Amino acid sequence: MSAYQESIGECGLHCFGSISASVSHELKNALAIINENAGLLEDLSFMAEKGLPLEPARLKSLAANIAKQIQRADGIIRNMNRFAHSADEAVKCIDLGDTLALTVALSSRLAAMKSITLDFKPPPQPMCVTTRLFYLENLIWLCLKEIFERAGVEKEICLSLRPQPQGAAVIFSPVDAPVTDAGAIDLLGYLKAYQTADSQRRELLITLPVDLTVCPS
Amino acid sequence: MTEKILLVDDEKDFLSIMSERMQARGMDVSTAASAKEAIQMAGAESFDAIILDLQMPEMDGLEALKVLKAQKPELQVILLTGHATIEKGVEAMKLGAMDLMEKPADLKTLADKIKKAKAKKVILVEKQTEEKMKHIIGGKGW
Repeated sequence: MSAYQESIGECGLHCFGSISASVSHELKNALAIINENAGLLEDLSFMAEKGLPLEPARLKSLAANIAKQIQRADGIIRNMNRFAHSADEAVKCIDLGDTLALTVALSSRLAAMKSITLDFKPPPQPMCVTTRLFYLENLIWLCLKEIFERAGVEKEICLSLRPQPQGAAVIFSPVDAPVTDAGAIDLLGYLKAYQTADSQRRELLITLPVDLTVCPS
Repeated sequence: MTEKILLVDDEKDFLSIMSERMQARGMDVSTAASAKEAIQMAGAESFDAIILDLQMPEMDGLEALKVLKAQKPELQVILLTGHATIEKGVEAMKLGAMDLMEKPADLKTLADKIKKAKAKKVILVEKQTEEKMKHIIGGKGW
């Protein structure tokens, strides 16, 4: 295995591990709230047994809290499941809007830890490319990680998509400089993509070919 | 006697329900939704124990723990975490945490740890007072 292939493999594992850890943390938070709501229900039952009146409104509110956290956990698991399945096929035709929405959702905790708001503007029409889905998600995640690290006072990062003559561009803004992470640079090559930074518009563009299998290296 | 607790977590739903359950058990509970807010509150008031979430935005639990212990070494901090790695646990103990518990936590176990924290703090404060007294007496030429 070449050093380049090893680097791509390591990037994939690192990203998968980090996202799994973040998801498990979020799930634990949801479970902790469910646990406390269940505990409070138990407390109220003990009090009722001792003759204290049970208020139906209180019970309704606890049930609503539990349902809210179950919905939250379900959304987290759903996203994790989609992410895990993105490695099923090495190369496939994907809707970039869907992929970006998923990667943004998976990165939301990473953004929250840096007090950054992550916003994604989906395109009006589906934008499809044939690419290595799992590694594209890795690349976007690595770009976001570096952008968050150097965000400084910028507390909102916006992602969008723009059609290009030979493919489509994922746009991060406001960003002033290209990403320098070695793994991200290797992934750009692996996906036959390239990055350009537009300092006037304060945008970083990651341009992907329409079809990676027919695009010359 | 009532234990005075500061509960710190960025999950507001968790704060509200957990504090309600702790109050029902006779504890005097204050809450903070960020590490910065907790540091301010701990500086202004005296708490028997601080229950601190390990992962929070801007300043995480370990950073907050360092600041809190520097501010008041007698403070007893119990860390709560979604995923407790051995490395984090060891780091927390080295920084002076009293204990580390994984979420979802069992309230009975947490309440026992809080009682122990209060007792430990009383001993530390007594020692500090004794040392102060010795210092004052030693400083005078009696």
